[in-house]
Amino acid sequence: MKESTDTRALRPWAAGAPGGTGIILVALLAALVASELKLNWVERLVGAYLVATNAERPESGAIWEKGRKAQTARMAIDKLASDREASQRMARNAGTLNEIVAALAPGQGAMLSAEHFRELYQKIPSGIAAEMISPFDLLRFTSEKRWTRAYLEKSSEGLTIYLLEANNQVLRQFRVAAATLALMARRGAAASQSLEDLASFQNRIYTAERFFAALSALTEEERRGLIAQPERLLEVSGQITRVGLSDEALAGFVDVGVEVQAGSQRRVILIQGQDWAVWRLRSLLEGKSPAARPATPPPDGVSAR
Amino acid sequence: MTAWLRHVRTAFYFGLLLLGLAAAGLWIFFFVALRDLPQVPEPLSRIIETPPTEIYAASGERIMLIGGREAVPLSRVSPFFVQAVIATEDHRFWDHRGIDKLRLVKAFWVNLLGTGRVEGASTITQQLAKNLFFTFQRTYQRKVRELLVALQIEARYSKNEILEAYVNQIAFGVGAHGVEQASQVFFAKPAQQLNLAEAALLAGLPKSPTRYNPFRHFERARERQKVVLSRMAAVGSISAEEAAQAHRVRLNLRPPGRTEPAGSYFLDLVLKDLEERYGTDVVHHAGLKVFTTLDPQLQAWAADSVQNGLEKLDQVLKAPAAAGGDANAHPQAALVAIEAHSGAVRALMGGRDHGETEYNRAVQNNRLPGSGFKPFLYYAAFEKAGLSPATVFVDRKVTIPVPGQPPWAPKNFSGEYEGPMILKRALSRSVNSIAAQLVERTGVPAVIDAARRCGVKSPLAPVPSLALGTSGVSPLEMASAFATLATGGIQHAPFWIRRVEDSAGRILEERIMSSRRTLDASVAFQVIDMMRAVLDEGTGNVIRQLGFHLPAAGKTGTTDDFNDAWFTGFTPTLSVSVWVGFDRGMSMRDPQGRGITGGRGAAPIWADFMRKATEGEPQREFVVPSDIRFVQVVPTTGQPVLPWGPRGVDVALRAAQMQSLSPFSGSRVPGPSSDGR
Repeated sequence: MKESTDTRALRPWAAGAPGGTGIILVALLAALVASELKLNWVERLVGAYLVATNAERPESGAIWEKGRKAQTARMAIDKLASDREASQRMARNAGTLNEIVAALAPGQGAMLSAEHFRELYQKIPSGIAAEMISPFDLLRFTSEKRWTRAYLEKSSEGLTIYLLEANNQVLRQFRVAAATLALMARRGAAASQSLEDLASFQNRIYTAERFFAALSALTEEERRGLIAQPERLLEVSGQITRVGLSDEALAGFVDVGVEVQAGSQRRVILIQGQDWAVWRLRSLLEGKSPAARPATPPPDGVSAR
Repeated sequence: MTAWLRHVRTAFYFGLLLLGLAAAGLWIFFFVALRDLPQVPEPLSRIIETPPTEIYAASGERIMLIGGREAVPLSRVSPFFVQAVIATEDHRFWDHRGIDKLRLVKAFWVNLLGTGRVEGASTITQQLAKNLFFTFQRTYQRKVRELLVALQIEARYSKNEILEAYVNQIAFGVGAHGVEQASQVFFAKPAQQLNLAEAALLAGLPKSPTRYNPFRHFERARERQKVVLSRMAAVGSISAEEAAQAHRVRLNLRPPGRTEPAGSYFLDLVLKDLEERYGTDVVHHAGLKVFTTLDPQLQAWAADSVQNGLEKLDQVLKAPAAAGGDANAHPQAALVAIEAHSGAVRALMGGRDHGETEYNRAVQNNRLPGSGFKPFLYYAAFEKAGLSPATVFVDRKVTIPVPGQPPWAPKNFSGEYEGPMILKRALSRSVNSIAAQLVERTGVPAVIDAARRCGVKSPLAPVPSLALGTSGVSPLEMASAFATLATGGIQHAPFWIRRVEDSAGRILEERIMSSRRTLDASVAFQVIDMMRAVLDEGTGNVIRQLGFHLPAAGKTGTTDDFNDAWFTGFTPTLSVSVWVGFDRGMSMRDPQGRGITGGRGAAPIWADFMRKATEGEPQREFVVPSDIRFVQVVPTTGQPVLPWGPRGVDVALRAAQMQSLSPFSGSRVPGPSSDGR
């Protein structure tokens, strides 16, 4: 009887208390919390998930930003180094000073060995070359064995050349003006046109016969002043038919246009004669008194004589 | 009762529902936070793999690493340091998987109570995640994302790998990142050799590197060390006795003033130059190799000489001790040493202690050179006005009219006037009244021109007082300009970078050491000869008294009220300028009121440095141009001394100037003025 009363008393409590599902849920929850505290399975699960999906996430944050900066910086440096290497390669393979000048941007420079610079120097018209630096000075530097390299630096005003010792101490520096460089660039240039096509020669075109007759009347020094390296003209295939003298003088030099006929092809080869020698020749060709023309280089001339 | 139970039941299910909702909310929040979660690099060591920019001295010795870290494996870190870091930052590090839940609950509770004390619960892994990926902005979202990254790091890497990454990237202050660098900076030893006391001190710094900087706040750092030691004892890493004993150990910190890498001011100059040329990112991230002109031995001697000189000056001035003091409370100094025949800067000190102030007084500080400027005046006077070292001027009170301004009436330092004297003596004794007469005769533009040709670049005011150094110049300029005199008039622009390469060794640029003749060699030699007398018998005579006896020339400089003291001098190979003064331009006077002159303040530093820098060097004379003749003259008349007369002063005259002297006649052929108007 008592037992039955007790059961009755518990019934309403049982009716109000959470059911079996609730208890199971609580037990489960407690087990979960306990196991988490013991085994850290939530951290492990989340961590494993994040490791698995790592590759899909963005490369963001301080360390990646630093990496990107490093990459951009390395690319910038790589470009600088590549550009420098390219200009060095070009300089090493260049056959003339003008090839180097043409390939350099203002502000850029190229380093050459002393031997290479001497080779390029020999290809410059002797008058211009001597004005740049005396060949005797180059000989001295070479014999002293201190000169190891030459650094060529292009600027808007022209080209600065530094002759360097092994530790980059400058032995001699000199500047080649842009006008002189332009003059050197035209030297030996072959134009496909005839002399009539070149405006500056319009007034003074002579037959080869007349030109060489006048040339033979000049002294050896004057002839060398006019055509510094005649052997170069000898190498040209074809026949020289006409010669033109330019009206314009540039940095102490005057263009001489040599028209060559090879089969049906005509072309004009430009060489640079020293202005005083050209004027001597013109005097002879035009039948004027040589005294009326300047017999010595003008003040801004580049002749070493 | 039933109703109560019903309420319990309702509350239970409501609680379950809330828990469910919270779980769902967390689940959603997890995916939201996941959206922009950063990728973790693999391997983790990549965080220290950025190629460093390396800066080398002229000797080939590496003097600085920028951007990269000197990472060390955990096996090369003192176990005391590892224990101290773990005890202080995260004592359950070995047990948790990225989160210390107990600490988290505790921190949450403390913060919730709002006691005003903010409790942190970040584990070492969380701190690593924060340092690698996140800003220091305190938001809940950042905190959750930091926690998630920490879980990933824990899931992917071993505890040792995490700890190694952590100790190699934490900031200890004073520019030290990573334990190896910190150990070197604070104790001048590898991290492996740290003892318990040192390890505990270092482990306490990351909490607030500035606040606990032991160089500035030693006692505060020691208190922090005590906290670390007691934490170590509390977690059982060491016993309480060991902790107490370690706290009593005397710490051998690197001496104050030696805390920065050698040549820090020089390196600042190099960095600034590189950043201007290549940009900050390239300098800090591209891994350049920079070959400089610095001579580490000369630099060390420069640092020693400046330190010693300033310590003596502190004693004379009764200035407060340098360490921990206000940078403005004691005098500063700068020293620049330049190789005369190339312009290469071989040593540079921009102040007393780079750790105290990074302001580079050798380069940025344009201070008045005072009489140190006179050599340019004398050069101009010889070249333009045809005067010679034997020309006589009268030391007397002078007043120079200045158009549109009150007349200029310079006074001699001594306040006295000595009457007629040759210019050589006027320079060696730094006579202002004669300098004023010379500038009046020569003209200010000629003086400016001479200074410019020597290499002075700073703006120069076109006023007569310029000749007495009233336009500011830097020690670098002075050393460079005097180097032009040292070479007999060939000017080399000063430089500090010889070559720059990329990390693969490809050359990006190399210095071409060009020069140009800017001064007449014979006139320059005459000035040199006069400046030799400054050391031998003039205002810089202290140099000889201090034991420097090699051929050298120089000039002292002192400004009004003793605000600046200079000595710039040179041997045929090395030109060195020293400046001493207060940053705020205060007067330097001893307690008796006597001022600190260039001879008293700067020349001793110069002499100390040069004695060491030239030790063992052969005696090198200045090159004497072929048209220079030495004549002994009477210092008050400029006449050649008679064979039977008293010894005179040797002066260097150009061949053309010899004609104006009548040997043994006692009279002077009219020529360059000797009236001293």
